Amino acid sequence: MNYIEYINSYCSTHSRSFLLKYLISGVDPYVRRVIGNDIVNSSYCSGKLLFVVDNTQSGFDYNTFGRYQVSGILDGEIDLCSDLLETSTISEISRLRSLLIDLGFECTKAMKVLNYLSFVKETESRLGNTGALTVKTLEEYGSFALIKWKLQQLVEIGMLSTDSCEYLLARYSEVSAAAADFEMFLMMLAPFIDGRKKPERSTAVHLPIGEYSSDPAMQQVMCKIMLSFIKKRPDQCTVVIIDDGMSDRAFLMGLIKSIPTSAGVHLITTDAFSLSESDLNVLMNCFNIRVYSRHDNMASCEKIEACCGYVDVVKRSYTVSVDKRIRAYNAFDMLLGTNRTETEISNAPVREARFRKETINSLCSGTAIIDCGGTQVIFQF
Amino acid sequence: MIRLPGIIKVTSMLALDFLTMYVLFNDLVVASAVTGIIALYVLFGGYIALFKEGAVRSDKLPSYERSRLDAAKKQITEDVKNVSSINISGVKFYLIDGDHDMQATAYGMHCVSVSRGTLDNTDPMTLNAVLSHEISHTVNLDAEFSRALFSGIMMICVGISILSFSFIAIMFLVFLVCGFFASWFGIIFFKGTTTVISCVFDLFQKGIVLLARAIIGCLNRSCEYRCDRYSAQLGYGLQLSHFLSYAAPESHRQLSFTDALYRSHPATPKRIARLEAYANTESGLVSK
Repeated sequence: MNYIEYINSYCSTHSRSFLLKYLISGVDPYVRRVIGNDIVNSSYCSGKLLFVVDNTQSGFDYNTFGRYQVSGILDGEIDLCSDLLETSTISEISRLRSLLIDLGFECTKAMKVLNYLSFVKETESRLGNTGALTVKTLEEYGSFALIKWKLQQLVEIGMLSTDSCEYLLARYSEVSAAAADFEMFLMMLAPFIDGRKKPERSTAVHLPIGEYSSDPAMQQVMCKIMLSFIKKRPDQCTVVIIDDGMSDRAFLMGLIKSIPTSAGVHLITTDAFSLSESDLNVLMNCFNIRVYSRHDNMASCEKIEACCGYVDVVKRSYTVSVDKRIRAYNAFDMLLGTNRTETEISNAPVREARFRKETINSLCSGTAIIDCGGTQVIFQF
Repeated sequence: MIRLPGIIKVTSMLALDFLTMYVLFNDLVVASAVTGIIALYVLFGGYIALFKEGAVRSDKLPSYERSRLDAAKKQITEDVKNVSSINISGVKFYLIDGDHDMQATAYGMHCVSVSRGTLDNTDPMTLNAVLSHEISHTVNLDAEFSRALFSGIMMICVGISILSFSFIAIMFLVFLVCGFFASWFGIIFFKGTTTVISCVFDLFQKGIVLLARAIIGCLNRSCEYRCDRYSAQLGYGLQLSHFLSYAAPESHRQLSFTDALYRSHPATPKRIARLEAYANTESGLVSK
């Protein structure tokens, strides 16, 4: 019975068809590779789009990931969020607002940017452009003179009265400072808005979060863009988070908490147990299949020991009295065991760890503990 | 579901019992009757042990215990079928509710019991590992063979006792016919002679028992290794070695030389080491 059969048997025993979410914690590369491959293959076979959130410092230079073709989110090839600059619905406004706040805009300033965008949108629709706003469009509104010229065009063709033109110019002047600031950030947002093609089912989108550990704003933008995409079609997406435990993981926890429950999410980390107790509780609730391979940190091993529970072991005390003189008993006594007096005392059960921390610290390569449905099983992969 | 070597070894022991009885009594009926009684004990003696230990059959257990044992049986039946093409669907699982030690026992006649301690403290895979070890005992008729060996040695001891008694009786008749009991010297000589004869037979008897127990110990230990290996072949080696590491009985008991010689189970670290070696060999083969 391999680990997949075991997990399936658990699911069938409990008559549940829930989404399997793996937490793989530990430094054993073999276990990570085996389960990682299975996750990627099953995701591919289900026709899901794969997001690889790479929170490692080592970089990621693969063109393929399993059978997936890998595209970097920053390469500008994939169009994840072409409607990022749209502000027509509450959810779009909220998405952009939270992005702007992550980029360092205050609430009021963020609202001014939104007003600016709705102003541009309105002007463009008056000019007959009803498509989504692009970076190129915004560049046409880069200065007061350009805007004045655009509005003059509308006045000339009779789409706008002079009073309205002045009113719009006045409105623009209110938000122009925020708009100018926003334009400085457009370069950061351009790869997400101006992607050439919609992601296909055989595409894996790589998010190099770890590479931007010194730029939290960029990390947040990438994650938010990914989340906004996933929220539209959660059951068609799988997220694999790869973490080496070297970076600040607070935002990673935020990401895990924000991913819709109907989306597949898997965390492959060197040590999940180095997280705080509250974060660990979130992980335990989020991931229903937890796999612990060898851990280097003894404190983490101790946490896994506690997590795996204890068994009641009954220790016994024996006293055996035997008369060792050869004529003290006959052959039948020897055969039937009546040549000795045995006293056995059963002591109260003592609780011993099901998996001792020393065992967890020295698990062999390809060996891991699967924690699934409240039962912990040691497995050879 | 029984392996041929198991049948051969049990049948050999019963044949030996029959031969011993026939040599002793020179009567085919007596030898057959005694061998028949021994055969009944060999086959059904496990039920006496089950009754004594208060074992409850799985189909009479509450749903939680029953479902766990049924699930284990289903899985092991499938595994055994895949590995050795043996159908073990006839195996019966029992629970010894009052036993909080972590152990399991094979009684023969396809009966295997688990203690409450084992059932409560093992995960499904580890339970499969423990039960598959016991199933290996069952398919190889180890419990029956142990009882047959015990009966055989008992018969040999009884035979030696009868021989010893016969010699003393012959001596008595010789002394009586020759009139040696007429003097105090004759009585003392008779007493001395019978003591020597009974001592010689007693020593012979004890020697046989000591030797037999040492051999039985060796056989039992090799059976344990074989059953561990079988469990590992079914894919439960790691779980079994982990179970042994925390549940092995007697690991905290200081053994004397004879205890070590006669012990039925090998030292736990040795068993774990063999399981690890087996797992390494298997993984090596798989990687090749």
